[in-house]
Amino acid sequence: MLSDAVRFTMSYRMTSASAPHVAEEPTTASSLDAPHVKVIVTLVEGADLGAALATVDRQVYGAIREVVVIGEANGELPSGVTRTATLEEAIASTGPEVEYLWILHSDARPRPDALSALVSEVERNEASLGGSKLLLAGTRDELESIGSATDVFGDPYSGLDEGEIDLQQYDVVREVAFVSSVSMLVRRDLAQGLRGLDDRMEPVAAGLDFSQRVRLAGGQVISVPSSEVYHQARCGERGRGWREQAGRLRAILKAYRLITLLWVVPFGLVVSVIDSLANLLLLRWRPAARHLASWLWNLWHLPSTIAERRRFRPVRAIGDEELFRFQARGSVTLREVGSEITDRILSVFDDDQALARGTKRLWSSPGIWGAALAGVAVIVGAWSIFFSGVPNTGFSFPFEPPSVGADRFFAGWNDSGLGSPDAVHPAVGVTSLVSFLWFGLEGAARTVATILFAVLAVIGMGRLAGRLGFRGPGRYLSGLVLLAGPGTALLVGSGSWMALGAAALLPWTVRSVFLHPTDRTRSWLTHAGLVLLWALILTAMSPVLGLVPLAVAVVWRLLGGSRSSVVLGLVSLVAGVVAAAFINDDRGWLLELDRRLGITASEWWPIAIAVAALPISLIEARTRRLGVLGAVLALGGLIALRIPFGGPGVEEAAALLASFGAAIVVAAALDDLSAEPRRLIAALGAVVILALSAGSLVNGRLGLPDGDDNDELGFASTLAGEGGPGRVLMISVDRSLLPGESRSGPGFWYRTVDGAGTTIDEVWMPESRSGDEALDSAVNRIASGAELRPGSLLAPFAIDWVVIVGAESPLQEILVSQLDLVPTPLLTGSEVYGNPAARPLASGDDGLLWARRGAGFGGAAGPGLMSILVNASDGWRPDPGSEDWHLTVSAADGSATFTGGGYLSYAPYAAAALFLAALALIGVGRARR
Amino acid sequence: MTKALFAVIVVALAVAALMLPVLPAPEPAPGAAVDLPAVAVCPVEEGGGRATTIAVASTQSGTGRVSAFVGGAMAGSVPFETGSGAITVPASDLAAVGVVTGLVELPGPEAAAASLMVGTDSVGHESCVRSAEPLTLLSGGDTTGDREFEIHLMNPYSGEATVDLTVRSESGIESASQLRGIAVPSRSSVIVDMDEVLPGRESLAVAIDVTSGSVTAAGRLLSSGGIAIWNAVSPGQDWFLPIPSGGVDRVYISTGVGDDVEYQLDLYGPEGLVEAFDQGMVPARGSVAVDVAAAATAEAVAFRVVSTQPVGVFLRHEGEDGLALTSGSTVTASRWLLPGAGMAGGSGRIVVLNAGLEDATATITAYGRETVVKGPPVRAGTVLEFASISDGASAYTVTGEGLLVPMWVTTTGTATSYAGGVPLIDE
Repeated sequence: MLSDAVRFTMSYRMTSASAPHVAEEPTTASSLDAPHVKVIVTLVEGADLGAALATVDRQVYGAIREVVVIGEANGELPSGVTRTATLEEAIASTGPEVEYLWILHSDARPRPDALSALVSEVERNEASLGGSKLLLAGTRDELESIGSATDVFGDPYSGLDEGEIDLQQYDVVREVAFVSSVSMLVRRDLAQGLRGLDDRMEPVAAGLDFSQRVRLAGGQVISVPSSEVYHQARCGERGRGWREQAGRLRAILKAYRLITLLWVVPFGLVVSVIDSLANLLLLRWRPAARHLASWLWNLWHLPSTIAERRRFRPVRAIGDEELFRFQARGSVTLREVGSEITDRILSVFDDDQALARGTKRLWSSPGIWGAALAGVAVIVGAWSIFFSGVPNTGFSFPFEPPSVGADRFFAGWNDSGLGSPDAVHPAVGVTSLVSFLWFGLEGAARTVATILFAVLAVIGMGRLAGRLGFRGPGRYLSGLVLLAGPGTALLVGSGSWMALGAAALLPWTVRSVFLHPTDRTRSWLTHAGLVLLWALILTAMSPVLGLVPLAVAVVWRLLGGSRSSVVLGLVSLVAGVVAAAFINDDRGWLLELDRRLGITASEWWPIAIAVAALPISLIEARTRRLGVLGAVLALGGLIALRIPFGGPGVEEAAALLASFGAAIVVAAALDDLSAEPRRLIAALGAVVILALSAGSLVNGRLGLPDGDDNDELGFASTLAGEGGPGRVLMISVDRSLLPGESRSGPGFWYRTVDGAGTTIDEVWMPESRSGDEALDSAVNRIASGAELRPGSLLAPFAIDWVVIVGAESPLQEILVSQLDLVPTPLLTGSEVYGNPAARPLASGDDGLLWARRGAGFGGAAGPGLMSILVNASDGWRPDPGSEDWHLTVSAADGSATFTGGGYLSYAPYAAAALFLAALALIGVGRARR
Repeated sequence: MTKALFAVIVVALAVAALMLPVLPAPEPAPGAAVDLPAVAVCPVEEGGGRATTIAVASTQSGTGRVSAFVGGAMAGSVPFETGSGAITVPASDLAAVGVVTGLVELPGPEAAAASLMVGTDSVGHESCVRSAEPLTLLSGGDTTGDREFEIHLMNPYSGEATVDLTVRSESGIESASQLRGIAVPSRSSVIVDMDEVLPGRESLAVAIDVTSGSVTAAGRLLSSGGIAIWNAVSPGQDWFLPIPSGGVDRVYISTGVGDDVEYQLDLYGPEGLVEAFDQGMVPARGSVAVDVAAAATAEAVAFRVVSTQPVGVFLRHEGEDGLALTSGSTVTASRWLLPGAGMAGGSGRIVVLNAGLEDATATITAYGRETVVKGPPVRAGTVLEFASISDGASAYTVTGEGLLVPMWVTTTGTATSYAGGVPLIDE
C-alpha cells in the first residue's frame, strides 16, 4: 500500500515467540471480512513522519482503508496518504464503511502486527477503545505504558517501576482507566460522537481525556499488550510536563459531574499545595511551578472547558462511579512524594533500601495518608507539651516518685485532703510503674506518657479499625476524635490526664477482644494475656471504662458481627481487681451524682454523629454494622451523660465511650470516599465530627488546660517554716478552678492541697472522715463571718495558706474583717492569705518536727508522741493513737509508716500478679506459636 | 429489614441524646447565713492631756477582749469577762499611746462598747461602731478659727484598706489629692487632718468611701481645749434625734448621693409631734445646717428627719459649756445600751424619745457599783429627760415596750458630750 516504506531497526522481539498469534496469520486471507480501519497519524515535532508511515505500510492487517496525516508536514506525502488540517476534521470526514480509527503519533513505531492485534482484541472484547503496549524506542524493551489507572485527580498510575523491562508480565488484555493517544484504536462512530482528541492537550492527557469520555459514553477501554508500539517519546516528557498536568486537570474538569467536582477540586488544590511544599523540602521548585501553571492554564481556558462539558453532556451515558472503578485510592502525586521523602529518611539507616522498597507499598495504602494527617495533627496538638511539659492544673497533677507511688498503690496512705486509709486511684500504680520504667524521672515520664497516649490513641484506633475491616483514610484520623471527641474534649479540657490515658488505651483493649479475621496462629493464651494486659492498664486509668470491651463485644454480636469474643470480654473483667479496693473504699466515686464534674456535651455532637452514622446504616453490611456499633456507643455515652445515675467514674466512662463511638463512626464514614450520596453525606458528617474534635487540640496541649498550679502555689514551699510546707486551703465559687476534686462549702467549693505541690494521688478526695468533718465545720463557721480569727480555726489542720481563686466569692467580703489571716499579694487573680498561726504538719514534744518521708513521715527520734495532722487511723505505726481527729504516733522510731488493712488491701498485689501473669501468657503463647 | 432496624436505632438514640434534659451543673451548698462576730471599733486617744477608757455594757455574760492596734501590730490586749453589767478598760492598760484603733471583742450580740475621752476641760463620748460599712457620712465639723477637725480612719483588721473621701464645703466639691486613695494599713489607723488639708471651711460634708478592705471612721473636733468625737454613719432616710434641754445649735443633714435631696424635719415637742417643722434641700454630696436653737427650749425635744434619698444626720452643740457632737439614730428599739454613760463624772442626763403612737414605760438601769432601776413613763410622741440615777455608773440600759430612742448627755461645767445609745434588736 505504501511504496516508500522506510525501515528502521526494531528489537529482536520483532520475531520473538511472544508475538501474538494473529501476527502470524496471512496478511490478506480475511481482509475482505475484516473491519475497515482508517489510520490517522498525528504529527509530533521532530519525529520522522516517513518512518512512521513506513511502519504503517508494513502492517500485516489488510483492511486499512485510508491513511491520513494531521497537520502541515514537511515534504511530500507518499501516495495514498492524504492530509487533513485537524484531527476533528479527519474523524468527521470518515465514511461509514470505516469501522475503526487508529490514531497514531508520528514518533510511534508499531510492530507490523500491532494494528491487527488491536483490532482483534477490541473486536473480541467488544471494546470501544484499545491502546497498544508502549515500549521506549532505543531501549531493551523498557515499558512506557500498558494502559494506566489514575487517581481521582487524573494523575496516571501505571504501576510500572522506573526502567521496568517488558518480560510479558503484563500481557493480559484488561480494562484500564485510560490508554495513551500514542497508539489507540477507537470505534469510528464513537470517535465521531466524541469529536476526537482534545487538541489543547498533550498526548497522555489527551489519551486520558478521550478514554474517560469513551467510558462515560458507555464504551469499554482496554489495554492490548499484544499490540506493541515503540515510542520515541518526542511528544512530551513522558507525561511530566506542565502542559500534561494542565491537560489532566482539564480532563477531569470535563469529565466529572458537578457534585464530584465540588470535592475533587478543593482536594486537588490541597494536593497541589502539599506536593509543592514537599518538593520544595526536597529542594525542587519545578513541581510547584508546574502546579501553579497548570491551575492558571485551566483558569484561563475555563470557558472552553465549560463549552466542552456542554458538548459532551448529550453523549454521557453513565455516572462518575464508572471512572472511580478504575482509579487508585488517595493521591498518586502525594504517594510518590511521600515515598521519596521516606526513602531519603530511611536511606540514612537502610543501606540496601529494603525498607525503602517497602514504603512504596506503604504509601499506596489510603490509610497511611490518614495516619500521616493524624500524625501531623498529634504533633500540632502536642507541640506545647514537647517544649513546656504537661500542665499541672485541673485534674492533671505530676507523678510522685515511683517508690512513693508504689507504696500508696499497694495499700499505702492516701494523702489527698487530710489523708485517709482509703485506697488511692489505681492510676497511681500505673504512673509509678511508668516513672520506674523511665528511670525514676517522673516529670519526663509524664511528658513521654502523655505524648505516648496521643500516639497510642491514633495508632490504636487505626489498628482497631483495621481489625474491624476498615482500610480507608478515616481509620487513623478517627484517633483524633477519640482524643478530642465529644467526651474526651470535655474531660481533658477540665484537666483529666487520666481520661486522656484511658481514651488512648481503650481501642487497644477493645481490639484485644476482637479476633483477627485470618490469622489463626495466635493462641488463646496470647489472646487472654493481651486482653488482661490492656484491660488492667485501662481499668487502672478509668475503672468503669474497664466494662466497655465486654460491652462492645456483646453489642457487636447483637448487631450480627462474628469476630468479637464475649469470652475474652469476660476475661477483661478480671482486670477489675486493680480497682476493687479504690471502688470499695470510695463508692461515692461510682455512685454519687453530686460528685460529678457536670460536663455537658454540645447538642451538635448527637446531630453530627447521627448525620454520619445514619447513611452508613443504609449501605453495605460490613460498614453498616461497624457504623451502627459506633453510633450505639457514641450516642449511648452521650445519653449516659444525661441520666442522673452514677458518680464521676460513670461520667468519665460515659464521656469516653461517646468519643470512642464517634471515632468508630468517623472511621466507617471515611472508609470509602466516593460520590455515592450516602457515603458522601456520611463523609461530610465525619468531617464535621473531625472539625469539632480538632478544635480542642489546637491549644497545643492535647486539649489540657493551661496553667501550673504547683508553680503558682510555689510560695507555700518557699515561705514554709521549720516544719516544712503544710497545706493550702483552696476556695472558689467556680469548681473548675480548683485542682482535682473539691468539696462543697457554703456558697463555694474548697479543698486542701499539699503545700509541697500536688501530685496525682491527690486528684480524687477520699470519703470524708472526722478531720474532714471538723474542717468542714471550721470552713462553715468562717463563711458565716462569725469567726474573727479564722487562721486560728484553720491552724489545727496545718493550713498555712488560704487561696481564693477566681471570681469574687462572699468569703472575700467576710475575710476583710478578720484578724489573723494575712492578705498577701502573691498571685494575680487570686487572693492569698497567710496563716501565721498554722501548726506544723507533724510536731512533737520539745519542738520536735517531722516532715513527709515517702508516703509517711519522719524526722529525728525523740520521746513522747508526735502529733501528725492527718486523719487518725490504726494502720499507722508505731503506737497509733488519736487526739481529737488527728493522728498521734510514738516519736521513738523517728518515722511513721502506714499499712492498710482489710482483705481488699491485697487487691493491688493480685493486680500486679495478674499483670505479670498476662505478660507470661503472652510470652508462652508466642513461644508455642 | 436490617438496614431499617439499624437506621431506627441510630435515629432513636440520637433523639434520646438530644431530648433528655441536661443534668444541672453541681452547685455548692447554699451560702451560710452571715453571722458577723460581735465586735466594736473604737477610737482611742491616749496622751496629749486626754485619756481614753473603753466601756463595755452587756446584758449577757461572757468573755471578751479589748485590743489596741497601731503601726501594723497589736499594741496591747486585755481580756475581760462580764456578767450582765459593765466593765471598763483604761487605754493605758493596753500600752497604747497616741491615736490608735481599739477593737472590742464583745461577749455577744447583747453587748456594746463606747469610747470615753476625758481631759482636763474636755469630755468626748461616743459609742463604738459595731459594723464597718463601705460608705459612711460625716458632717458637723468645720475648720474655721482654731478648730482642729480630724477624721480618724480605723482598720484593726489584717488586710490593708483604701479609702476615698469626697468632701463638699461651701466652696463646692473639694479636689485636694490627699483625700483620694488613702491607704489605711492593716492593724493601724490614719488621721486625716482636715484643718490642714482644707483650712477655713465652715461647712464640711464628708462621704467616706471604702474602696477595699474594712475601715471605720470617726470625727474628732477640738476647740479651745474641748473635744467632740462622733461616728461617721451609714446613710438612711429616717433619723431620730433626741435633743437635751438647754439647747442645741444645729442639726446637720448631709448626703453622699449625686443629686439634691429633699428633707423634712419634724419636731417632737412638749405638745407632741409637729410635722414639717423645717424642710428644704440638701445639695448633692453636701450638707445643710439647720438652726434649731429656736426649737430647743427648757424642755427636751426631739427631731425626726425624713428624706427622699439616704442622708446622715448629726447634732452639734457649742457653747460655754463646751462642744458636743453626735449622730442621730436610724432605728427605734425597745432596748438600748448606753455604755460609758455616767463614767465621765459631772452631771449626766438621759434623754429618751418615744417615737411610737402609744405611751411607753422606759426602765432605766444603771450599771456600776450597784445597779439602780427606775421606770418613768414616756408619753407617745414626746421626749423625757431625767438626770442620772446613780453615781459611779459605767453604763446604762433603757428598756421599754415602745419605739424608744435614748441619748446620754454629760455636762461637767466646762465640757459637754452627747452620746447616742446602741439598740438591741429584738429577735
